[in-house]
Amino acid sequence: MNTETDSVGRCVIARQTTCVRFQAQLIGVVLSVATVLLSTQAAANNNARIIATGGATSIEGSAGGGIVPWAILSGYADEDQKGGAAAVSHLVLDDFDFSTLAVSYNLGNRVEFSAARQRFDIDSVAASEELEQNVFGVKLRLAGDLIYTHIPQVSLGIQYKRNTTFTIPQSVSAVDNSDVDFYLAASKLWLNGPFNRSLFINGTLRATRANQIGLMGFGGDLNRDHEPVVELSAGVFINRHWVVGAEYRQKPDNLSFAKEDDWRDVFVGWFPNKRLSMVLSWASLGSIAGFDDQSGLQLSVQISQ
Amino acid sequence: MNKKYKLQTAGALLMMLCLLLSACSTAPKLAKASPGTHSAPASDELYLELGGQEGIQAISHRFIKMIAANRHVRARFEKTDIGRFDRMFNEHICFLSGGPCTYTGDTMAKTHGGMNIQSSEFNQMTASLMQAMDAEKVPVTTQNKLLAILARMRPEIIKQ
Repeated sequence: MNTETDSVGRCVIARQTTCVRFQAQLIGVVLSVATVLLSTQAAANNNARIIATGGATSIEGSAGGGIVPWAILSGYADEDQKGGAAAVSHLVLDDFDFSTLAVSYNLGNRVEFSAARQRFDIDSVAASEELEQNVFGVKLRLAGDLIYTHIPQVSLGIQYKRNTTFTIPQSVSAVDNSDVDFYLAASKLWLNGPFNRSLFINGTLRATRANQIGLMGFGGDLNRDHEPVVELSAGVFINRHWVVGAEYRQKPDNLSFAKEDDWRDVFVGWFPNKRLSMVLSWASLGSIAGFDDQSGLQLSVQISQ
Repeated sequence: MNKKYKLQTAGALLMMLCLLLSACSTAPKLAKASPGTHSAPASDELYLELGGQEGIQAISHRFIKMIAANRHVRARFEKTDIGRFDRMFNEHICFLSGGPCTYTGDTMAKTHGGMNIQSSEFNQMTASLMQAMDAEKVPVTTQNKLLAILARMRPEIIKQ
């Protein structure tokens, strides 16, 4: 464990000051990037798909909501184009902090490659400790189009996850430090949905044995095998730039040392143009490592092409 | 507490449920209605929401300007008779929205035959139409109604 150092910014000893400084810097960077991107010139995007149809970047790096990967592919690339997205997110829970950094590349609206770095601060449990994980994903659009076909857009995805801080998960009986999740997702947008607003619905079926999405390793003393879980998202577009919605993510419960709960969130997404989007959500992650009712605000900022 | 209160609550809940169900059942029905064939709707509600003939004319003119400014699609219109495009677009939208018009133009498949329109070009045109309707202050709910009708024509427009 990297107890002594903290090369990239974080909330270690002298947590308060370091953290505040880091966060102020982060906010500064985000604001300047936002200003540039909001100017019309920079906001022009040659890629053709309709605004907001690239979704946000999920915590595992793939196009999706906050906590659920969707069948849509990141950015705005159409069949004859290339695109992608980059995003940062930060979630402040009652006893923990969770931040992610992610990039994705979309080839012809057919296949999406993604990479994400997740960091989960567990100072409340062990001073100056973090759980970290890398997630590499590939998502293949199998059939359908989000908007234009009667059938929903259906995609198959895999996520290779590697926990780089396995000592703690191992100490509570997690079996492996890396593993693969498989998922099948279906997304549909009804342009003229209820009350003449556009309605988005996504359902994802995942096979996983990840503990707390992998931050606590894979498999455990209660269950070592992959099991199917259901993940759902729905959103209503108030107009083309604003969407409100909710998500639910079922999770396994493999470790006897602490109960693991399903996750849910409600969100507001803002897509001022095809370059920039922000999602503010309220996430309820239930019990984590024995700390009950962990919930808090998450901000996610995405740049897309 | 008392019976009356309970009845009222039950009534309100029932009404909400009906509203939700009807709202939900409209969506897929609208989306499914007559794929391929584009018959006019029974009511002229959308036509009136678009501002009738005058409103549609304004959208059409604005749409042509947006297309001219859209470098991804404007080359496709180099040989187009813009006057005719304007008239046909007007007729078509008027007809599709339930207005008192007959569409005298060709089918979408014939109009776009041999052009091999790409999905990206279709989306670019959709974006230009959205911009045009935004500029004409067409409410988003009205836009959604029209866009949903036009989106159904995509299979007859792209890759012909």
